[in-house]
Amino acid sequence: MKTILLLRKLKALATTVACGAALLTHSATADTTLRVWGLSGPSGEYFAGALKRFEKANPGIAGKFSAYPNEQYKTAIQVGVRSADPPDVYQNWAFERAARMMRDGFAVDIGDFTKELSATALSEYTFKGKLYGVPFDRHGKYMWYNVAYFRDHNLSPPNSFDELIDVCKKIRATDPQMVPIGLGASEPWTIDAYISVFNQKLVPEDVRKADTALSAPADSLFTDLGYIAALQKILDMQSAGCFNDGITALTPEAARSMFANGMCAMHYEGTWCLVVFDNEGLKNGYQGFRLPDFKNQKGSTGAHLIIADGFQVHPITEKRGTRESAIAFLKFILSPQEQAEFAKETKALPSVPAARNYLSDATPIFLWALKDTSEATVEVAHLDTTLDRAISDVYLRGYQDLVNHVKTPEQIMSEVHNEAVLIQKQRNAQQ
Amino acid sequence: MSVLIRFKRYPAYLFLLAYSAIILLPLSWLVIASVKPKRELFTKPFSLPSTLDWGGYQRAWNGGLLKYIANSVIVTASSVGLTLLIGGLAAYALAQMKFVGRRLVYSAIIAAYAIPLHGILVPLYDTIVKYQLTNTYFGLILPYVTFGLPFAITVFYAFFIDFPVELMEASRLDGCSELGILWRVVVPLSMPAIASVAIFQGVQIWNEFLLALVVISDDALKTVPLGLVAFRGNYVSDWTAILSSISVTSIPMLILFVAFQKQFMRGLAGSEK
Amino acid sequence: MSRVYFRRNNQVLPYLFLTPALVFLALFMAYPLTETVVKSFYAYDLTSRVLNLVGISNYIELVHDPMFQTAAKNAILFVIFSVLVQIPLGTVLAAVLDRGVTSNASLTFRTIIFSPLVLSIVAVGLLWQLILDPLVGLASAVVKAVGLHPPPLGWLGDPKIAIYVIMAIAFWQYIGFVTLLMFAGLQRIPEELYQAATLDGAGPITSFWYVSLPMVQNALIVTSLLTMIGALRVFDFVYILTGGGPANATQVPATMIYKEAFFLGRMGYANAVSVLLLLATVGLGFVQIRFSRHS
Repeated sequence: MKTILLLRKLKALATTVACGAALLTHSATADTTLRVWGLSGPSGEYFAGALKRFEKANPGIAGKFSAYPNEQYKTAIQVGVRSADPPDVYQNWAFERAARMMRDGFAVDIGDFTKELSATALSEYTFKGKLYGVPFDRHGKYMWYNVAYFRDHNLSPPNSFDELIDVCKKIRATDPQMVPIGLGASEPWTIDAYISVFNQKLVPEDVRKADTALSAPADSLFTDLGYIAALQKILDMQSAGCFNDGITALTPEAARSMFANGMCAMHYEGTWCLVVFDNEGLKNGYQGFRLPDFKNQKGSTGAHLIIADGFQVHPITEKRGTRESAIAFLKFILSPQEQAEFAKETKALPSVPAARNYLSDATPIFLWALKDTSEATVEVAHLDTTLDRAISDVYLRGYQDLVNHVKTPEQIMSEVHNEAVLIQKQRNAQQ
Repeated sequence: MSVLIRFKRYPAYLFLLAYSAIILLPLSWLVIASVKPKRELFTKPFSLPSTLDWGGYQRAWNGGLLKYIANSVIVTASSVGLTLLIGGLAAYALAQMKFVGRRLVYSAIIAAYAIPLHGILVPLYDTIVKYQLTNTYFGLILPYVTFGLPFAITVFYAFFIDFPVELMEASRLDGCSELGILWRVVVPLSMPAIASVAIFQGVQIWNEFLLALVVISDDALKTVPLGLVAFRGNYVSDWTAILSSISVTSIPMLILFVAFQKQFMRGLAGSEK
Repeated sequence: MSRVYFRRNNQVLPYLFLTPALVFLALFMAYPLTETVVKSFYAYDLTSRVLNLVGISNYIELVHDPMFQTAAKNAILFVIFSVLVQIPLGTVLAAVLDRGVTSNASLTFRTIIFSPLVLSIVAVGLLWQLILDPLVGLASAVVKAVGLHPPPLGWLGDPKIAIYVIMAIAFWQYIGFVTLLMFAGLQRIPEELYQAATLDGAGPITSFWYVSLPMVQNALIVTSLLTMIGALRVFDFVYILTGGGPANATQVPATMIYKEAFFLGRMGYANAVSVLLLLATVGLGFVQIRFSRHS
């Protein structure tokens, strides 16, 4: 076993050295600086370090990593790619945001990564048959539950949505002080997670695809009754006592802390929260399940909600002569060893399944989540990453009105429909 | 008689005491809660801390507060300095020199005082992008100086206009150049006005948030208000660290205010000009 | 000799002194101001920068936009309550500080009352956000301790009350500003007037009503206008405390401009909101400048 690992390491080393040699011949004319932009925080710290290791393995290349905090990066990157000094490689969210960079001409085809990543992972950045980026982490959203609490109260993880409602009702009946599921929607994306999955389950796939792409006829956009049913499910959960009071006053982080401190029995969030649970004292005390299916649902069963972050490569690399080093950098960080290092430093789920081989000391739940997300075949993305910004804004504020009983599902969907019609008209006018 | 007066004044004192309590309670909670052990913060909301836990301050400090404070000092000091210099020169010309278009320029500058940064935010941001000033100190300093100028010029103008002409003439006869007069005669006499403008602009710029929010995204360049927001984002459930970061950045301002109260009040009251 | 030198240069020197100020004002105020107005008739994206002339359709859309209706309504509420709450309370505080207590006590109380003015709104907002936390915040604990129920949707989570909670916090920080300005005005009233009133048998309340108030009428108007302009420009409090939510219930013009421009990317539309905000604030500002110069 050890020899195999060593061989692999040598092989990885050999490829990077070879790349470096190939690049050196170019360096006479090429720009030797590789500008990489990404988010600050743990992942930013990792990439700054990885870039240094990449420099060492490829003498003659100088890496420059610029880190931006999450809330501002969305604007910074949009302005940055259009500026006179754009990054060579930049972090960007999968799906619609990555696709927009492709459409606007700020991302290039980066070739073949089938050796590194699974087909589903590649699909997150594949548009019109070409690969415009690679994910470096892939988080799955799960309903986490407190194992001790479930055991002490004779509860088992639900296999269907109705059973989930039953679990909530049972908890309320035996333990009125306990919140079954903590929900903090002062920022509405926490509800978006539910609706994204519910829509996949309740709206026929072709209808959902056509609505999302705004290719459906104007008068039918977002009129499928499944959309209304999806919103109604949140109200059903609310009236079954699933959630806490003051949903829109509670921050997502506070809800997460509630679960970590045993103040609620379940919590629906991405796998990035594992480290928070562990740090706040719930280590090994929780397990997770995907949002369960409905009885007669329209979409495929067993869908995963996946949130992927990755890198794209800017066309400026052509002019600067940095294209090869940019792609070499992506190959470098997607080696199983680097991916394992990434997982250790950031506690994020790596996108390369083989990283598991180097993560023997990770928690069982982490390895389970890594396996479960990398095996995903039916994938759902957050609505707010697939829809046009203006339409998703109508949705997002609709969620808050929904749980505060200010608007009904029908009213919200009619607003979504109206906005979609408007945006479709604008797009058609531009073409 | 004196007893009667004191008795009569009871309601006045009560009123002020009650109002002061409303102001002081949240501020004292800030300080007390920031040194409370985390558990007690939630389980005993009204009690004093059983032991002093300075961990929050330590975590806040390690979170990069010094960097944010340094950025704010650089931006505020340069902006205020430039505002005083440029505003002073302009006000001096308007108040002490005769030239074609004087009234027009003065009225235009007065009118500029009514224009809020919020109202022209989008093209102002475009301008800053155009000059490639996003994520630079100058991206903040130049607009801050601009929006400080109308106030500075009006205050200085009101001050300079009362300068006796004879004083200037005498200095000129002594062979002073205009700049020499400014530096040796006008500046020393204008210290109260300079202090007012510096303090009012200093407080405004130190606390400015909206423009900084759109111009600065690089963590290394963030000013204190942006830093506090970033800090809340990074330490979401660590209340003591958040409270410590608020108190570390607020208490120096309060101490400065108490120490230079007279100047502060004159400076702040100047905004009605 | 020196006089001749001075006179000859006098034609150039004033313009030289003025140039830096005028360059700054032109680049970072006059130009963006013109752009705001001109580009409010265009549709363009934060990133694409392709300008499409759309005439007044941004303005027509605004009228029908529920977010703008909320933002405008909240701005008006903010202005009305600022004047109704801050001005009377701030003025009474100033009057009590002026004549109600000894000068030493007055100084101490003034220090306390004015102190929030030097804090950043961000710091104050973050502090109050923790105090108002629906689960473990101090405010809910206090309300429960006196036997009442905190709002079930949370202080800042209930769309019906959130904007008033934000107002209360803004007033907490800025009533001192009204007091400061009014106190400065009251201090200018000559003592003889009060002595004359006392001789006529006026008590403190009568003196306040018939001596103080008429004498500070102008300061009162200027302060009210400044307060109204401040209320129209509110951004930081809303951004920090609710971000305009829940569901846009607490949007104000400035947060709407920010959201439209930097979140939804509709720069032209954001400019149209800006133009309306400018009309309101600049209008009030001109009135204020007129009154200031008279006083």
